[in-house]
Amino acid sequence: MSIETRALHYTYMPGSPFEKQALTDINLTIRDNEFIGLIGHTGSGKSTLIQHFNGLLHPSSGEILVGGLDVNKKETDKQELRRQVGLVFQYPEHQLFEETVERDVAFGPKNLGLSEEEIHERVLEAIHYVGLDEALLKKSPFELSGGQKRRVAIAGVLAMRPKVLILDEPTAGLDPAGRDEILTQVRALYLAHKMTVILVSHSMEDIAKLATRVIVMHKGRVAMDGTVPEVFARAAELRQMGLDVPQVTRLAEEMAKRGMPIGDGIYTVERAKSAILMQLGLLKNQKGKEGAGK
Amino acid sequence: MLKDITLGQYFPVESLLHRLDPRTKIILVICYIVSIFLANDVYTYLVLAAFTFGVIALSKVPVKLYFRGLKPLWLILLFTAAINLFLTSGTYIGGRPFLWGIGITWEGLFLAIKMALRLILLILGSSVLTYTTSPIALTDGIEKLLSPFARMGLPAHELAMMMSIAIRFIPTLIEETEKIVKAQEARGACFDHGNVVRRAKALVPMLVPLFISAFRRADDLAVAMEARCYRGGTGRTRMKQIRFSAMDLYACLVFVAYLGVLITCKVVV
Repeated sequence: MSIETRALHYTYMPGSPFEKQALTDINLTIRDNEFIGLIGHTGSGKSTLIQHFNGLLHPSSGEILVGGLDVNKKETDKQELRRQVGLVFQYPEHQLFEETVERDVAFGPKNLGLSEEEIHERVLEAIHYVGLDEALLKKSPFELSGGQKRRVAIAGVLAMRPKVLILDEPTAGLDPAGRDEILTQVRALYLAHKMTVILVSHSMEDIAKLATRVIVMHKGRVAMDGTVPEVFARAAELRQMGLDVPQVTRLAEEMAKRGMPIGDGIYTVERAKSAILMQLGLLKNQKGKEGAGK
Repeated sequence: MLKDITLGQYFPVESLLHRLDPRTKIILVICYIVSIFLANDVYTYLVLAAFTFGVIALSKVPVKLYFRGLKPLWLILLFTAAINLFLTSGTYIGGRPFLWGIGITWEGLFLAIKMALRLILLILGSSVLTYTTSPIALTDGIEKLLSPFARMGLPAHELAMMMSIAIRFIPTLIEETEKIVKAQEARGACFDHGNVVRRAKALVPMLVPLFISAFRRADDLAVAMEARCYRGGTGRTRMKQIRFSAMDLYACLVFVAYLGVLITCKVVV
């Protein structure tokens, strides 16, 4: 399912002293089965933008089409829109409210008016996706650990079986293990279900590892839009926007400066590792040659 | 819907009234409210209105804002006016009641106008206090005013602290509510459809997380306060000392002059 915006503008509290232009002239086409990494400084408009994608916010001007549905039109079925586009907010565990995990995850499907069996099936499926044990279903969500709560909340959105999954900093405040687990599961979902995923993150490492396309927001505009190498090649510009390139990319830059170039396009630790090994291998070979020359 | 709530209406501009000691303003507003009830004829109302609008002009807050503050109260205004209009005995306008013994009397008409004016002036006058005094200054003032009663066991500091914390968290909780509403809407919840029972039920997914977050915030705040060695009001000094200055004295004198004119009007006319 694709999302298309044309000349999208959004202003918060228009006509009041607190008026703020949050989005300016956003033209994006997000195609089927893309994994989008959405990055930008705090206040750059990322969260505002993703809330347009499932009709929680309406553009002040401009158009937005989600799977052919015009979000602006009154007759557009909001329920349908939200079924298609699942949005996981920041700290989603703060929205848990039911007595048991099962009932909380079932909240979404229930709102869709599905049958009991169907709901149950979806709850099990969603719980399974996020890697939670079925034994937790009868527990209160408030007894769980922070990471488990977050996964329950994500399951609550997945149970709607969205075609587009939007995650707003899903790993904020989690420990490294919890972070890796959630991202691995998101990636598995993306690969298995041909979902469109939009991941908002401040971690350039995560973006570099997962995204097929990176969109950079700056002051309410789309500043860059391209593949991981295309965007991270513009390191100086990114730094000006208060962003950065992945740490390994900086390492590679620094190594090149100090006379040990390991090549361009180093964005992930794995890639860096093999490049360094190769370089070391080359060095060894050269040394070997030099030795042989003597 | 939630954005319409304007609590803590402080309007930050520079004016004489903004610089007054909050204590002066609180006491004068109370006196002003009492003085409203002294007015009962055209002349005294003119004095009252002149003083009120004079003070409003001094506050440098747009008059439009004052009248916007009246909006939520128009129902009460209408209700009191209607009650006075129809339920006051006296000579009927047009000589007789127009239906089933219900009619408008001249006395009722005047009373209705008087009461409506009284309410309007009351609200306008007391909004001067909230527009020109920041919530923090206000609670500081209340704390200082209540401190003499502390000896009698009134927890003046605690009351003031509770008030300022409550005021501080209103915008935060509104923001939180909006976030939760959006998150539940993203899961297909509907807050504005169906009958009363359905709507009330729909509030549960909003209220439960809101309560939990309010308790969490309270907990965090308590820890943060203790971490900074907060242990109640005794021996606590403040960054912004409130002082009774010459300006406050002038303000009191002006108010006394106004009272004098009002009472003279009442007695002489």
